[in-house]
Amino acid sequence: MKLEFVQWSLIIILIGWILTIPLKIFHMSFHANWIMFLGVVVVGLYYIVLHQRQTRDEKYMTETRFINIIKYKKRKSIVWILWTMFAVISLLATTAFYFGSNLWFSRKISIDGPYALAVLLIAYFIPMLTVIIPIITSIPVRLISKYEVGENNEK
Amino acid sequence: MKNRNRIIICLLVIGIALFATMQFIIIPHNNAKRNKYLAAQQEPATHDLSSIIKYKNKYMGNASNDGNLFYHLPLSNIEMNFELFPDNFELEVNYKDTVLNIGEEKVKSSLIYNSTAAFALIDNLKVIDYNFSGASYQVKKVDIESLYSNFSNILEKENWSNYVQSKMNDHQYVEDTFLRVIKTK
Repeated sequence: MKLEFVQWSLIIILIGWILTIPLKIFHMSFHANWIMFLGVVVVGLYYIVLHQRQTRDEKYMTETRFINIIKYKKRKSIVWILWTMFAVISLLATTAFYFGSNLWFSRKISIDGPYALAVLLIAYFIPMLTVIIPIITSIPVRLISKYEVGENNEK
Repeated sequence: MKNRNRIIICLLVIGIALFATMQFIIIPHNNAKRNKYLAAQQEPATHDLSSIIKYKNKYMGNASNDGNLFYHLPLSNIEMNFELFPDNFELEVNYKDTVLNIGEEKVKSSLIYNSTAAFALIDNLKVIDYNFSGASYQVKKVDIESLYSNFSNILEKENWSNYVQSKMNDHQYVEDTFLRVIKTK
């Protein structure tokens, strides 16, 4: 289960990394891109190590242990709430940064062209990439239900 | 599990391919294009008119507009400051370098080009003084206007390239025009 968790995390971080690459044209995603790349390397290496250990050690794969699903569910909901708060604040902050003076002085909003529009959309988009954190914390809840040992799963 | 491993490998390949294209093809290409464009902006013959059209203004008293216009014209790579004399509708541009350093030919063509652009874009501007370290020049709008039969619509793209820009490579034209319209102080 741990292996599958790391695998899913790796897939999600890889997608995040791929999404930040094209943004390099606009010289905006430098940090986001590096963080994602580091994430891919770290999680990728961990996955390889774990994968090899599991193929060597059969017991590790079939071992059963007690996991409190409530704990994971609670953690999942807390992380989602925190992330939603972060997302709202960052949306407001980006709006204030770009349009604060337009709102304050009730002036018309003007966007200079497709490049300016793209820059604006990216400014909104980059903080949203952090959504991978709550997504990753949601994975265990799904996996625990999938691998639960119970009457339904017993052979 | 195995299928997902395949997905990981595919994503990895896509990511690396995209990263390599971006880093080694698209970004260097864009940088080269930008550097070429920036270099072209320093030459009167290749300067991009559309980059200064937005500084069209009725009043020379708008200091930030005047400044921004000159920061987007040839010679903008030289450090400069400005002074306005609104009573005489006069603008003073002080370049912090000598004519010799910049190159006499370059200064001559740039002053003709910049003056034409400034007078065409800023309606009530009448006189521009250019000060370099060790040399000063003055240009009047009436003299620049007399160079072109169609000064009122000189900012149209075709007119600009035919009557202003294309002549900037003509050494004799630049010399003669400089003597005619630009007064050494």
